[in-house]
Amino acid sequence: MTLHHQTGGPARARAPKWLDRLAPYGFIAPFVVSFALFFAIPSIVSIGLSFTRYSGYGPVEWVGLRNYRSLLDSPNFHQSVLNTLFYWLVPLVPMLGGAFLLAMVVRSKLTRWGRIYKPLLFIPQVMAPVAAGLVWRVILSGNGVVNSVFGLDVNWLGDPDAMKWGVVLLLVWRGLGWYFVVFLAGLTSIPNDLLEAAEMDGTTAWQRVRHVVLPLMRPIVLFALVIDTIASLQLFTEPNLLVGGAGSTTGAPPSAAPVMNQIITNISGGQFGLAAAVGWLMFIAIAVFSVVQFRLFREER
Amino acid sequence: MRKSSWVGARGVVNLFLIAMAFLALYPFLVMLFGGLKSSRELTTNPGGIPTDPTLDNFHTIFSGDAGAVLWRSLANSFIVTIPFTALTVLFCAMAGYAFARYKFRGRNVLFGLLVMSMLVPTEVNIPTLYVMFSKVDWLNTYQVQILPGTASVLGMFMARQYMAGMPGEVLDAARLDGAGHWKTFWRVAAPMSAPVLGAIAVLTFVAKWSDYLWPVIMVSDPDYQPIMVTLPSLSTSQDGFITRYELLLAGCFVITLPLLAIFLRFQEKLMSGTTAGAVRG
Repeated sequence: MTLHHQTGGPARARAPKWLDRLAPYGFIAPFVVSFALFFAIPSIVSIGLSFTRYSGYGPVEWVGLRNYRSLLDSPNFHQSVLNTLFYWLVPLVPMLGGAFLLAMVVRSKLTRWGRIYKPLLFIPQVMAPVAAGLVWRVILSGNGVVNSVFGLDVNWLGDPDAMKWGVVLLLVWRGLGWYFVVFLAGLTSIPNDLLEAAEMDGTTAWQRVRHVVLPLMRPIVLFALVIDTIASLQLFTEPNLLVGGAGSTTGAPPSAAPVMNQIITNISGGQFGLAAAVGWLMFIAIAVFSVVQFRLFREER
Repeated sequence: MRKSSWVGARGVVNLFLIAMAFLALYPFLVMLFGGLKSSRELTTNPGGIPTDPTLDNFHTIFSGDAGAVLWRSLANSFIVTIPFTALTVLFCAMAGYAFARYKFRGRNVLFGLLVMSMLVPTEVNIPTLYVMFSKVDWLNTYQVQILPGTASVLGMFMARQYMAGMPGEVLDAARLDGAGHWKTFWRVAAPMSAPVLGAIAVLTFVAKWSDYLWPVIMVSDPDYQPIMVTLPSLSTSQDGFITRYELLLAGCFVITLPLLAIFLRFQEKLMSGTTAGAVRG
C-alpha cells in the first residue's frame, strides 16, 4: 500500500489550524460511526453472547463453553456442516477450473470475439439468488429441461441426495462467470510480449501455461479461492430457495440445509447464545481455511 | 495442413464458447418464456418457446391481493436500496478521501483494523444485531434496512486506492483558491473519482437489491418487506398449497429487470468493480 502525494492534507488555505487538524476525523466520522455501531461493537458483544444463554429478554445466564459443546455434539449441526462443505468443495473444481479454461480460451488467439463473450458469460451473476433459485426449480422439475435433455428421471427437488446436486448445478451456473471475469482480468494483465517471447523460444502451449501463465496467475487464483471459501461457507439463499417450500425462510430440509440455517433457526427459536456460537464457529472455519490457502500458495513462490 | 487445423481449432473453440454462452443465458429464457406461459403450458413445456404467449401472469401478479403486496414490496425495495446505496457511496468516498489524502493520528492503526475486519463474516453479528434492534424497536422498519452495512470496507478501500492516485496539484490548487476542506472534497476530489464511485454505487445497488438474508431475518412485517422476501410466497398466498410457477417466473422477471437494466448500462463498471480486489490485491 503506497501512499503517494501526501503532503499532510491539501495545501493550507486560510482555515484555522484546529480545523485542518480535525478535518480528516470529520471525513471518516460517518463511516466509523456506522462501522462501530453495526459491526465492531456487535462483534465484540457477540463473542460474549456466545458464552451465554439468552432468550432476548430476562436474565443473561453465563454457560461457558456449553453452546459450543452442544453444537459440536448435535447431529443436526454436523449434517449442516457437511452440507456446507459439500456446496463449497463439489462446485470448486468445475467452477474455478471451468472459469480458468474459459478465460484461457477467450484470451487466446482462437477467438476474435472475446469482448462479446465476457458479458454473456458473466450475466448469470445479474440474476438475484432468489430469482435464480426459483427459476432453477422449473429447470430441475420432474419434466424440466435437465431431465428431458439427458433422458433422466431424477427427482432433483425432492430426493435428499439429488437435491444437493441440484444446488451444485445452480451454484456452478451462477458462479462460473464471476470467476471467469476475475481470471480474464488476470490473464489480460500478462503482457503479450512475454507470451510471444516464450512462443519464439519454441515452447509448447502447455509449457507456456505451466511455466509462464500459472506462476503469474498465482495471486489471482489465491484470491479466487479465498473469495470462494468465504462466500461458500456463508451460503444461504440458493439452497433454501431451490429446495425449500415457497415462502418459508429456512426452506431447505435438514439433509440439504447449510450452516447459515442454524443461525436463523436459533434466532427464531430465541436461542441467541447458540446462534452467536454458530457464527463464531463459522468465523474460525473461514479464518483457518484462508490461512491454509495463503500458506499453500505462498510457499511455492 | 497447418492452416486448416488452425481453422478447425478456431471453429471448435467458438462453438464451445457459443454453447457456454447459451447455457449462461438459458435460465433467463426459461424465466422470460415461463412468465408468458399459461399454467398448463408450463407443465407440459417448461423449457421451450411459448406457443401461445400471454401477459395474464403479469396481470395477475400486479392486480388484486397479490398486486397490493407486490407493488408495496417493490416500492419498499427502492425505498431501501436507493438511500442505502447513496449513503454507502458517500461514507466510502469521505473515508477513502481522508485515508488517501490526509495524515492524522491513528490513521494506520484504524486502516489496518478495518481491513482485518473483512475476515469477520457479517453473519457473526446477526444474532447480536437482532437483539439490539429488537431492544430499540428497529425490527420491521426501513432504517434497519438502510443504515446497517453502509460502512463497506471494500468500497472504502476501492475509493482510497483511486483517490491516492489523484494528482495532488489539483487539490492543492483548489485549496489555494480558498476552497475549504469540504468544498475541496465535494467539488474536486469526488467528481474526479466518479469512475470508482460509480463502480461502488453499481456494486452496492446490485448487492442490496438482491439481498435476501438480512430482510428475511430483520423484517417480518410484509408492509416493510422488500420484493426479494415477498416474491417466493407470492404464488401460495392465494391458492394455498399449489405453487403457481408461471406467476413466480413472471415475478422473477420483474425483480431481475432493474438488475438487467443496470447491467446493460454499466456492465464494464459492474465487471471491473467485481474484480477490483483481484487485480489490485
